[in-house]
Amino acid sequence: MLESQAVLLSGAGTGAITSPALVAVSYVLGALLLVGALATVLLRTLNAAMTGLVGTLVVAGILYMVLGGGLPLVLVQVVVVGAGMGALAFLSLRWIGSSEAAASPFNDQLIPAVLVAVAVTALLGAVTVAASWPGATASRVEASLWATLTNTYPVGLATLVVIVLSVAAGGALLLTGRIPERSRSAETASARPKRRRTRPDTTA
Amino acid sequence: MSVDLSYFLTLSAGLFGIGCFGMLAKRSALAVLMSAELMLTGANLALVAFTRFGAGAATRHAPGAALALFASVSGAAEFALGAVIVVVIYRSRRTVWVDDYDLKG
Repeated sequence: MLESQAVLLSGAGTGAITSPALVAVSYVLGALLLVGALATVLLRTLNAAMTGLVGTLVVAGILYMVLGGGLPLVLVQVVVVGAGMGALAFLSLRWIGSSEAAASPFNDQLIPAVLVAVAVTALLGAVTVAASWPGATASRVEASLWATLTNTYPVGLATLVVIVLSVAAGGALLLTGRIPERSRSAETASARPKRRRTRPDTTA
Repeated sequence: MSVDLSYFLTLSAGLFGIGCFGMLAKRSALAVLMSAELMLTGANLALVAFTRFGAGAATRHAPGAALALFASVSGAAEFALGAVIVVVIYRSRRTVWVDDYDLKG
């Protein structure tokens, strides 16, 4: 049995959700979350996978709301992450404009990928089951999240703004910049099977 | 019947594992980016669950939720930049499949 470090708590109990309606909603949202995630990775066309991803992110936002994660977090998750990411992925496909790019096949490493994913999930599940997490009753997080961001983490918030602005500027520059087309000779060279390099004879 | 921290952590582990599988098994770079976003969402779900049920819940400072917000926005920014890079590589190499990427030449 793993024991996490003892923490002095001002709350009492673990504050589990006991309302039948909220419990039912939590189970339904959890099932939808996993179905959406599976759809994202299993569907073979990118448009369908994108729909699955956006659905998953929106459901995650609703789940944050059930958990009382705070309105700013829910809005960011649903509007910025969910809708924004879906629009961006859709735009990427439009920019690429190739039917080949709209497909999303599996690669040759399917079995190792399944094994690694199962191992990672099993490890996380074992830690979840074995650990004894210190718990507390939740306070009203919703009212304090924005205040926390501006008062406790102003540097983090400023850094986040800088990151977002840098990404916007960098993305715009990358898209508008001139991209040199790969020369035909380079393409054919990469298509050719690679020859083994031989070390030059230095004994002579 | 009740729902506690372990339920959300299990959900988070499942989401992380599914994203991990997609990241390793898909050929399309956009699909790999989407799988990475699934993994990030799984981690964020754990953070928010710890905010609700964990020791930080009693402090009224919501550090987990704040961290999840930072992670969400920076993850979205990473996805945006990744998508742009995929588009730029496609313009140059005419492929979005990671198996075909050869960035040396």
